[in-house]
Amino acid sequence: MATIDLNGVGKTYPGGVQAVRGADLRIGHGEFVVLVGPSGCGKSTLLRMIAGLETITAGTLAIDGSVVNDVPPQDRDIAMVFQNYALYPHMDVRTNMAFGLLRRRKFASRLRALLSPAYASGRTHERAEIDRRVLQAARVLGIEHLLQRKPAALSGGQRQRVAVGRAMVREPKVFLFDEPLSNLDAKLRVEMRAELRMLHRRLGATMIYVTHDQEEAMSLGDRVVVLKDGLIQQAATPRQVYDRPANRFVAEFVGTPTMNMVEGTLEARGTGMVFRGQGIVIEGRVDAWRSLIEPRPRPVVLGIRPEHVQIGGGTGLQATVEAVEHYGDRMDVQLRCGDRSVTARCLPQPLQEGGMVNLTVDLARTHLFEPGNAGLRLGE
Amino acid sequence: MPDGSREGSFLSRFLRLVLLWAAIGLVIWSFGRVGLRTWRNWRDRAEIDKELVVLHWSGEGGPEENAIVEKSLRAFEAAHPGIRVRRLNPGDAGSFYTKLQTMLAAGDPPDLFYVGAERVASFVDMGLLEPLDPYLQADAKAAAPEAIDLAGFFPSTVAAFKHDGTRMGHGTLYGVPKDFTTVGFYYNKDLFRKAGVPFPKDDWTWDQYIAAARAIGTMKDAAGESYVGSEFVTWPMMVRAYLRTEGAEVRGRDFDDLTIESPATQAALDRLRGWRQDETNTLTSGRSKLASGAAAFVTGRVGMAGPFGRWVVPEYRRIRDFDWDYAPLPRGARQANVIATVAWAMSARSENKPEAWQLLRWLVSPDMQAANARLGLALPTIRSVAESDAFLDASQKPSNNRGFLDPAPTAEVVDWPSDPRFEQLLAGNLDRALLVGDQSVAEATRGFLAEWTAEKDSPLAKPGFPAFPWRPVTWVLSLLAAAVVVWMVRMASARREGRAETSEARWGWLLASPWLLGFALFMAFPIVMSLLLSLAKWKGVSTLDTATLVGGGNYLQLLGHDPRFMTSLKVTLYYTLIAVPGGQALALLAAVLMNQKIGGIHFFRAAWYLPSVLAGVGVAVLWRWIFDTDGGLMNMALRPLLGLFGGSPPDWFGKDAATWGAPAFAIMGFWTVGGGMMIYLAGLQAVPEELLEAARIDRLGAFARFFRVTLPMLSPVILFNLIMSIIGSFQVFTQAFVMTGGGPGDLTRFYVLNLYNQAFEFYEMGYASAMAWILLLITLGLTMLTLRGSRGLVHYEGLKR
Repeated sequence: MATIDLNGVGKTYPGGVQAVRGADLRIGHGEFVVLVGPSGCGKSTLLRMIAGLETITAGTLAIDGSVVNDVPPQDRDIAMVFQNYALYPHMDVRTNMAFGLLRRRKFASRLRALLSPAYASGRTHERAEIDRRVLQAARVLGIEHLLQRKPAALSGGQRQRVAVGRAMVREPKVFLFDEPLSNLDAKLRVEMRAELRMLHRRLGATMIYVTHDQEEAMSLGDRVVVLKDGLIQQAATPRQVYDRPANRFVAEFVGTPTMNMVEGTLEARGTGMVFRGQGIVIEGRVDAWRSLIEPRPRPVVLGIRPEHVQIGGGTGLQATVEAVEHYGDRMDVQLRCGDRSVTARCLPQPLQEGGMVNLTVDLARTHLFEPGNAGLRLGE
Repeated sequence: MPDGSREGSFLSRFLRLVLLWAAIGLVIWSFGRVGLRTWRNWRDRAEIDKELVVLHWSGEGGPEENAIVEKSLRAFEAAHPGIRVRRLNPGDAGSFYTKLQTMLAAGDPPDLFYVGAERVASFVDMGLLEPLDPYLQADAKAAAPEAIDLAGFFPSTVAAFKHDGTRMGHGTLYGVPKDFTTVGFYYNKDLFRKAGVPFPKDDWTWDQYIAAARAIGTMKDAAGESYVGSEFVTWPMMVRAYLRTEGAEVRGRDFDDLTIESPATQAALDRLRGWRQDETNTLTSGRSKLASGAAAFVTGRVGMAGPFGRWVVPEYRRIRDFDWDYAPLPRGARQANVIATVAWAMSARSENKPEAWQLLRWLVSPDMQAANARLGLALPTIRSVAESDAFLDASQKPSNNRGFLDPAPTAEVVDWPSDPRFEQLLAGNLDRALLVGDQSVAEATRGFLAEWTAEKDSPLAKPGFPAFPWRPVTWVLSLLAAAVVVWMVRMASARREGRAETSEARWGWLLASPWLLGFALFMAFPIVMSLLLSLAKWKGVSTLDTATLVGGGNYLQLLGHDPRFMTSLKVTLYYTLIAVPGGQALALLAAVLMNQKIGGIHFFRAAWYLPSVLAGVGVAVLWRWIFDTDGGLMNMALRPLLGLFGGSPPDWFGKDAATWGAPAFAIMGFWTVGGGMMIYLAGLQAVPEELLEAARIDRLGAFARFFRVTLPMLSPVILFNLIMSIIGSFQVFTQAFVMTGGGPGDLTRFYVLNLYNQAFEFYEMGYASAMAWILLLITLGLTMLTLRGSRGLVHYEGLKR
């Protein structure tokens, strides 16, 4: 277990490309942090900097309080699970897992050890300890029967487990995962997700996990760190990220289907307020927004999660059904409302494509952002 | 876009059309050339009765000699309507004999060709040469005006081409000498003046010779560099010339009576060895070598060079830096000299013998000899021409033309037995004493006698083997071939399920047939032939029907009674032992270096690979200089380094050749590790970056990562490279052929070079074929051994991704 402190960490490649900019993040003991973002957002670079596989060009990185910017990966006491598992093809599973534990001695000390009579027994002892750890990890991961096989003879999921096992036996300060599930099929991915979650609970180790899949991020992390263009957008619990996205990017990145974003204005009406934009008018009363009201209509972007668009009711928001996707337990409906299309998620109900429906949107469950593509969250 | 793609297809169609027409044109052109000649012959068939084929070489004579022969042939055609002469000139003497051999073996020999005196015995032994006495007698009887007047020739040149079946100089005449030379030393007049030594006179002695050499050898130039007294080549012919001046010889009355062990011969050889090995700078040697052979003289640092004949004159006439002249071979106990000579000879299988004789007479006529004499390359064999201004041209060096001419009447040809291996064995063993110096004269003599006795007593040397049963063998092979053809036809015409598959199979066979035909003709047939020949004794210059069946005789002789074979095998294994591990380690190291991600790495990769694409012979010549004992780059670099430890660099191809000869070739091979490097580089780049990162995370240092991850991942590539380089190491030829010719004393006679010598110098095709098959078995065995030994060490898992 360890804490990790990122202080203004940045990575600028020789060509001048900035992969990560001024990342500040504090990861506590035993925390499971997920770095998430679209491809090219710098999440993998950030992870590799923590691993020591990439040099840090700005700021400091500290593990357990000591700066490790110039410490090579072999001396950082971390373990990493790679996207392609990176198992050594020429070794069997047992050796793969034990490899990180073998041969820690320098040549000179090994020579000295050879001359000492205690060497042989010490070596046996060391061997036994390694075997114990490997077996234990294998048992936890359910791969005991695979120990004699070589990686080529394993399925994707089995390789994944071996890769995790290899990290486990090391008992490192920090576990790093670089998109470890992206090569698995959807069903297996969900299974492995749950197992990783349990593993974390069991080991209680500090883990940093990189993924481009927001769903995976939300389901796994104690804390989710959303990145875009090398900048940390928000670092918070999954709940917070979902319920209170820090800006329009986070709001749109997290959640499926994507949040409906309507550009328009907000102004006072009576004791409440009204939003108008793109042919959509929503009235309501949100106390937190009072301070936002200006004498003139204020330009804002209103974000509505699809599940908060209710079909039926009588607020008078009229829409045409354009397309319906059934998922059994729910359905996603593509609607034309005002000048734009809006997605709604609702319980299965009979809807006619091309038919007219009424929509209800509770203003209190919507999100307000400053105008522009990177608008910050307004209110609260 | 659609427009663009249409244009693209038009372009590629255009390109294809151009290529197609080019190919058609090439075929028409090449057939056309042959066709044109055939057509011309057909058109002139009324006028042409005969076509004669003449094969010669020009060597040092260059294009000028070519022109002289060509002009003379056209003049002959003009004078003899109805006879056409086709001239072939493969270049130098080496290519000449190869071409001659090919034509002879094909049963289509040239009507007339050059033959050197040293080859007469073996050619006569093989029945290749037409006896010329009947023609001479017929001419004499008819009192033909063009008759050759042999009385006007230098007698020793004529004697050189007489052979009675066992001895040269007696019996039937087999060639009419076209030119000849006596031998002696070329001397640097400037160095003689500087040393205060009088110029040699034509009757100088060995004592005067060695005194002059010592005087020059003690001089130093302004830079403190020593001069060398003399280059003394130790070719067997020249050694025997030297021996004759002391009244000694290696043989008595004939080659069944060897006198090399006689006290006089041993003493003379000991003295020569002493001059070279025990004195500094008197003779060129391991300790003071500049260049070998005739080239040493051109450097201007050697007082004398020889014994050479007239043939170096064209080269030496280009010397501008110093004054030089010539003196005949010094006298010892007696005055003696030898001749080297070449004759025009007629093929015993010529189909146009009378016409060929006419042409032969024409080619050795005084006019022709006078024209050749002006080249300066050799002496005319007709005495009157030699004494004329055509040869005694005072305007050009050397001024001492009489030095060549005066010894001629008494000079004698150096004779050889019909087995050409005698000369090679003598050369190899004498070199150990005279050139390398690691053996005494007595040791080298014993070595020679042992090898020659083994050669003579070889069961293969005895006559009485049955003729090779070509007829039954041909029947069996034809039946086998027919069976294969029938089987293939059946395969091709077999009904398959469905029309489409049948048609596909037929097309498949049709399209593969050119390759199949090529394989049968150019691979399968030669392989079968070489296997058959390895059971036969066949001189490569005779037709196949002269082959005799010796069964496993070649193999038994090779494995049990051929010391030279064992030497060459040892030399090659020694080379393999150094070249393969060293080369692979270096290639891998280079590949690791070239795998670094730094600027300009592409340039370095190209630079490292470049030596691998350079042509073999030129490179070999360069390396010969690099390994030169004194002036070579290698030793210039090593001398100060080894000097720190009180050592001195080796005399690579001289007296240290036993230890350093083969390694020198290995070192030279290291220069071309680029090929292996490329393969390793490709392998290295196929090692997933992630694995190395995982290893770093697994707390492995750089060395551990290389040895525990990279190397196992690379192991299939290493195995491949290892096997290829083992096979390659057994095929060393070009370098050794060019740089050392196998010498000194067989210490760099690699396996394939030995094989080449057997096949193309001794024409022992059966023996050489057996060697080829043994080579195959050796490489096969080593490959199997490597494959077996690598089990568990080679990981193919990394490739299955």
